[in-house]
Amino acid sequence: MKTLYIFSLVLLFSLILISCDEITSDYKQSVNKNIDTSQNARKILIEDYTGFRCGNCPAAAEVARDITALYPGRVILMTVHSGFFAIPTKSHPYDFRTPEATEWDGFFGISDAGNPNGMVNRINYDGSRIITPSKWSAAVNSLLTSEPEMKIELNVFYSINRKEITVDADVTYMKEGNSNHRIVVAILEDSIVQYQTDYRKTPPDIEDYVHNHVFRTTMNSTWGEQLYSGDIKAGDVIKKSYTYKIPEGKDWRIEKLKIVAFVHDNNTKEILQAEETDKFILIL
Amino acid sequence: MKKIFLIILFFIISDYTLSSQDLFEKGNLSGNFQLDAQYYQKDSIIGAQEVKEKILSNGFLYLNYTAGNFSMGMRYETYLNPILGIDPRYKGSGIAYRFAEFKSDMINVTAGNFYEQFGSGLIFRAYEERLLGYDNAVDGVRMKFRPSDGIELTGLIGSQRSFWSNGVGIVRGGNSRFELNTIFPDLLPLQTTVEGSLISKYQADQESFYNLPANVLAWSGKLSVNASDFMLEGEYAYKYNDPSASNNFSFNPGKALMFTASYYPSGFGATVNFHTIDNMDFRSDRDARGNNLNLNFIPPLTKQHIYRLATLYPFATQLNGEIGLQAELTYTFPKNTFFGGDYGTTLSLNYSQINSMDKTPLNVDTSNGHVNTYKSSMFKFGDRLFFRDINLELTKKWAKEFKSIFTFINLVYNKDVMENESAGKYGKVNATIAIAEITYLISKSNSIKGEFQHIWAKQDSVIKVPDNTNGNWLMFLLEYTIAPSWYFTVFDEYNYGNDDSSRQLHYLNGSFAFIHEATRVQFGYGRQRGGLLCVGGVCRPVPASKGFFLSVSSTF
Repeated sequence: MKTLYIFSLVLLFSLILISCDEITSDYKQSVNKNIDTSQNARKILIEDYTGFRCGNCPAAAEVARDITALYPGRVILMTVHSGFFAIPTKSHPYDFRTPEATEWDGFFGISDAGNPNGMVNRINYDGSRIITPSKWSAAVNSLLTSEPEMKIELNVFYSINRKEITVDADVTYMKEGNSNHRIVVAILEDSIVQYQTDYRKTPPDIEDYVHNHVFRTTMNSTWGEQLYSGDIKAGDVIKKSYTYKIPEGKDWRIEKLKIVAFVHDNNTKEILQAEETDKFILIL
Repeated sequence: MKKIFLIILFFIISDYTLSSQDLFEKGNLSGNFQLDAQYYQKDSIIGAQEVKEKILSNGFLYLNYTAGNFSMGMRYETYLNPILGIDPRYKGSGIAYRFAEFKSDMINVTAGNFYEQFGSGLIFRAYEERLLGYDNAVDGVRMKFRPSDGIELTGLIGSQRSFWSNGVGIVRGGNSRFELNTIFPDLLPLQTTVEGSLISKYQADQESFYNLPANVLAWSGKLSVNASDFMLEGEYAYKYNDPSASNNFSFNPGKALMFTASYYPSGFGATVNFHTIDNMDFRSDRDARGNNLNLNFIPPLTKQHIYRLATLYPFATQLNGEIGLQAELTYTFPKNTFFGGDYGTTLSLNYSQINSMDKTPLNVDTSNGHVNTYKSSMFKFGDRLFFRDINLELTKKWAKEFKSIFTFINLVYNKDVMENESAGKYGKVNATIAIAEITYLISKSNSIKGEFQHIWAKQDSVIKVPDNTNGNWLMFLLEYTIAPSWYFTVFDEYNYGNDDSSRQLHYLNGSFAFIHEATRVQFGYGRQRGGLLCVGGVCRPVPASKGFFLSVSSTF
């Protein structure tokens, strides 16, 4: 008995001793591999939950940017301002918050867990839907080879006279679908110059920080609209159209707006497919 | 691996022929219960937010069943919803901890959850701290083996708790402890203990930017020498490359050295501590942040003050790099001398200073400026002062029924390091604190305690955004005790020196506690200021709140 114990413990000790990987050069991973960048691939949405007072958030935004650069055409970013760090202050009264973002944030509990944090296609990764920035690329990796269930095509029109955005979304199913599938169409804005705290800078106050991929609103409610009330067969094409009039008093610049649409399963909340476009066809 | 251990466990149990009947006849059930509940009221002046649920509570029930060499236990936890300041990811209820254990003179085998510490904790400590909402218990198997007196070998494998699930990393560890005097009784004149530890963690590299090590090893060695009036202790730890979110994906190894010397002949005590820490934030998940999935614990080098105003500016070990020194002298003036009086007087002086560690980049990625490796000066105090504290405590018993403690503290607190991730915003806070505590025994069972505290505090920078924690404070506390059952406490903290005159607020708080045998019930009402709550040098921010609070604890 005694020998058996000593033997097993000595074995464990020696196994632990050799359980170490040392990396002495080539810190950087060589660029990947066989990633499908065709139009029909599954696109992955990273939702970066942030706030202009969050000093660690600019670094997270850079992580997200680097991931999109790594997998061209496969990753879509949406920056969601919400929670404590997004509350305006006397000196910086600009309010990035939106009711939809507040609802998502409350539902998924993201800023409660701290910022920066985010979601990747709203999947559970390593046991949590809330994913820390350093894990975003791993979560994206886990989805890159999965087959898309559908394809989304977007056509966007902007009426100059009516200040109205119209989005035509065609969803073509490659696999079978069901009545839980919903589509959310969101309006985002790029390059908004506003204040941001950045702990990497001294002083950490950046008055002219460029905020990109800022979520502004959805065109069809927080959780979107059901695509079809029955079962959906492979090959079916479902056409949806949404119109949104930009409210008076909004400082949105039409040339910086873009549309992000995604289809999610309302039971699991997982995002099945996403698409984005900044091509707006101007009409009168 | 788990299976093999379970089979071993089975054999051990059958070896000792402990039948199920014995289990229940000779068994003994023990445990404890704790409930903390708060009813919250909105108070926008102190910044207490509205709590939608009105009532938040944390509850715990621990049961332990022991029968002969065998024991098993579990802990039920419920957070509906977690009280403010506890991580909201604890929301929910369930059995968070359960284990079965076999224990004999020679071996322990544990399957399920367990807590453990190797050495001083430089590379491994699994523990629970409810006040912080911190629990990094290991879920797996552990064996302890004592082949002869004075030798203990420990081996373990498992994953760590992260809220309601386990972290992704796999932890493997081994520890060996030798009490040399027990093994070789005549060899050494001093009590000498040698301890060697290993921890290795595994986590797959699934991210896209770096070639990360999936297996990370850390080892440590500890030597302690004890005699009747002195003690020497030294420990060194080394961690191989462990790029993580908390060290900004640095490929540098981690190193830590700590040293303690104490000398305590009668009536006098002197202790010196030194430690130097470089890149020792060690977690079983490289992406974890905050108080989550830590593998190690490095004891703080500063005195942990308990008086309320002295906890305004606490310090926590900076695992990514710090060098610190602490010295403490205690002297008891003998009875019937000028300073000693009739009952003796104790004076203790404590000094601590923690500085940054200088680091020079070595290997830098030219494309994005990322520092892959750096060179550190382990034995040179860096330019930045993190914390300095000089304090004096005088304990004096004047008469049989009259005792007093006077405390004087002067500290420098680097608010940027502690509250702003080192980014320059607040600068440092200079604070001087004076405290008088007086206890008067009215009768055998009735006593009254009074505390008067004052803090003079100044911040380096101009206060741009008004807050509720700057400037001078005054506090009084009155506690009336009817032994052994009743405690009545009332205290007020008054921030009369706040930079913003509309924030010169009172935090009045009253409570009573009732103790009967092993059950304690406390109920109170009042305002609680926001700030950092620290236990053993680990801190969490707690928001200000107002309302009723109830706390029940019981052991059985």
